[in-house]
Amino acid sequence: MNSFLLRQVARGVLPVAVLFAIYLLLRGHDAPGGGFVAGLVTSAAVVLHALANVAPSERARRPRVLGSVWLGLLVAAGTGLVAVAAGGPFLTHSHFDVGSGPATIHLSTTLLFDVGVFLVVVGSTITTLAAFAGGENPR
Amino acid sequence: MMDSLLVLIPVGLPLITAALLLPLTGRARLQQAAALVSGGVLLASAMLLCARTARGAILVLPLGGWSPRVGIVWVADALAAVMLLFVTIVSYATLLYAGGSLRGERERRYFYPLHQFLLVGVGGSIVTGDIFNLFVFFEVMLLASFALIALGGRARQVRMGVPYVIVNLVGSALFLAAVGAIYGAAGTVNMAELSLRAGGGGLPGVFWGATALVLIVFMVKTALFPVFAWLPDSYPEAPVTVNALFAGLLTKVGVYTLFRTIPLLGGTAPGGWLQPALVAIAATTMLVGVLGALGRSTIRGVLSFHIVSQVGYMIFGLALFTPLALAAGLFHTLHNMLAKTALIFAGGVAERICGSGKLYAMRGLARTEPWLAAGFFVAAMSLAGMPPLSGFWGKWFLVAGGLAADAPVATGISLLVGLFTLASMLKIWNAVFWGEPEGQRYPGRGRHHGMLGATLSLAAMTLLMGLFAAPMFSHLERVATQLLDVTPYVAAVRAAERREVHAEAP
Repeated sequence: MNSFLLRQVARGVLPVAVLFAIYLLLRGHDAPGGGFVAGLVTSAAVVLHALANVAPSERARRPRVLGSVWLGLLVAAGTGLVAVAAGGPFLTHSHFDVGSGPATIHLSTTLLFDVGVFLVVVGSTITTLAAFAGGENPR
Repeated sequence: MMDSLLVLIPVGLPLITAALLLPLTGRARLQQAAALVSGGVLLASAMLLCARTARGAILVLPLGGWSPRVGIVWVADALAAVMLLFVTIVSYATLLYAGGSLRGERERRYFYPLHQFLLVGVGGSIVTGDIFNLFVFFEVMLLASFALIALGGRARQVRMGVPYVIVNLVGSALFLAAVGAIYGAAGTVNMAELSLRAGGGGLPGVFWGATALVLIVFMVKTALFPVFAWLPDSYPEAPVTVNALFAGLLTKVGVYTLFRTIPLLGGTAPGGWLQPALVAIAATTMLVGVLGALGRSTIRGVLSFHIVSQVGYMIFGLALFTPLALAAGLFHTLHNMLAKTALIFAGGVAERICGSGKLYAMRGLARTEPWLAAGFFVAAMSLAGMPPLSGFWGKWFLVAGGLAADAPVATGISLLVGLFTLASMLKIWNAVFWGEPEGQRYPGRGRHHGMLGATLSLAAMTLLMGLFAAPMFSHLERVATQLLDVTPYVAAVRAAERREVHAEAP
């Protein structure tokens, strides 16, 4: 699609959407959010960007991110397995606080799990949508 | 530690294997080799699990260390272990077979990762201890199966696959709604807890309505009468390997979920109509399935319609609610996983040699491909119930169970259906394997070590299962007793609840 307005909007939306996705990802463990929804927000922005900027003749340049699916699967399953190696049940997560006083940040290994989920969602959503847009087999 | 690993592996290992196979896309041989290694580990762990649970031990793995009251539990008892063992056997044979059977880049490229994802769903459905998690694993299984059934993407195949997708999507939606209603009415989705509350009485009608809906969804997945129509047209259109995988695993997972949930939830259902209804459904399914199979005109068409008929036998065993009949139903399920997969394997090779799956398009395979014919013959006779093969004992125990439980009509129907089964197996034998060789357009194509080896080893296993029927059946009787006497399962899950496993509050 070749539209000046759409290109400008997409350019503006992309960084905001990515920031928002990171915010959702970080607060996900204790509040509404998480890897899944952050992944959806990111893919929506990426797809909008691709729609606005890729002319039909340049389909070859559409994003190829299938790799992030298996990487994400490994990260998510891997965080669960760390606990098994330590003798706990699968998917047991650890929590710890960094810093002190009002600057304390609560961290947890669920964040890594969420990053895995995020990668899977981004990879599969973008691949699927790109396949619909492109008509040829995604590689 | 060891115990929780044994419960984790059937789900975790295929998941990790799938993730490792994805970057190897396009290198089918390497993917197959890796999947076989992973399948070997899976097989070994399933055997260990069988040994560990054989004396009635029930392994409970609370995921993430959460209490089963709020979290997810995976439970492996003797029933789950023996199902997992046969699932891994069938899936291993399918991997061996796939090397020679998958055609073209489009089938080969995605089969192996999808196969692993399907295994994740199957393994998860077997070990899960709560019905919401069961829904999730059904979805994993279905997503993989949607892609597998359309693998290759021929127009007719996709058209015939659409009813499969629609029926299963509607089924999933109903399932999710029912799980929501159960949670609303009973306050938990954990099967052990649900069983306790259902037994305690005083639950609203909504709960029983939703439970009935869940059972209906399971019946759809199992392809019982009257909700089987999605199966006979879609399965034969899929690639042979996928057809065999679905025949060996998918409907059997439906059977397993019925075996799992009906004793837990249905035993205390009000009205007492569940058992007669199940017996009637099972008998009708047997009959309709075999008659439908007789009317089909392709090899895999007959075999796929037969899946429906055989499912009837399995549920007949469950419906009688005695340890003897239930064990017979289980025996029949396990026998069928082997025999049916072997038959579809052999049928697929015959189809390859002929270039078409039509009956009478080609004859005389017994002359030109004696090994293939032997594999088909043993499996077919096993399915028809000839001694000393496993199918004979499956039917024998079922008839004994049926008569002991005072269900003569359904038992009579099962014997009659056995005759029809023999007739339709002979129909294929006569049309494809018997006579002077003719119409074999691609004679060399069937000689593939993987394909023949997979067919013959499954056929040999039905023979072994028949020869060792007595020790196996007595083990299954213990399994059935444990299953009907719900208390050990409930107690094991609740014991995990009391063990304060979560070290710190979240």
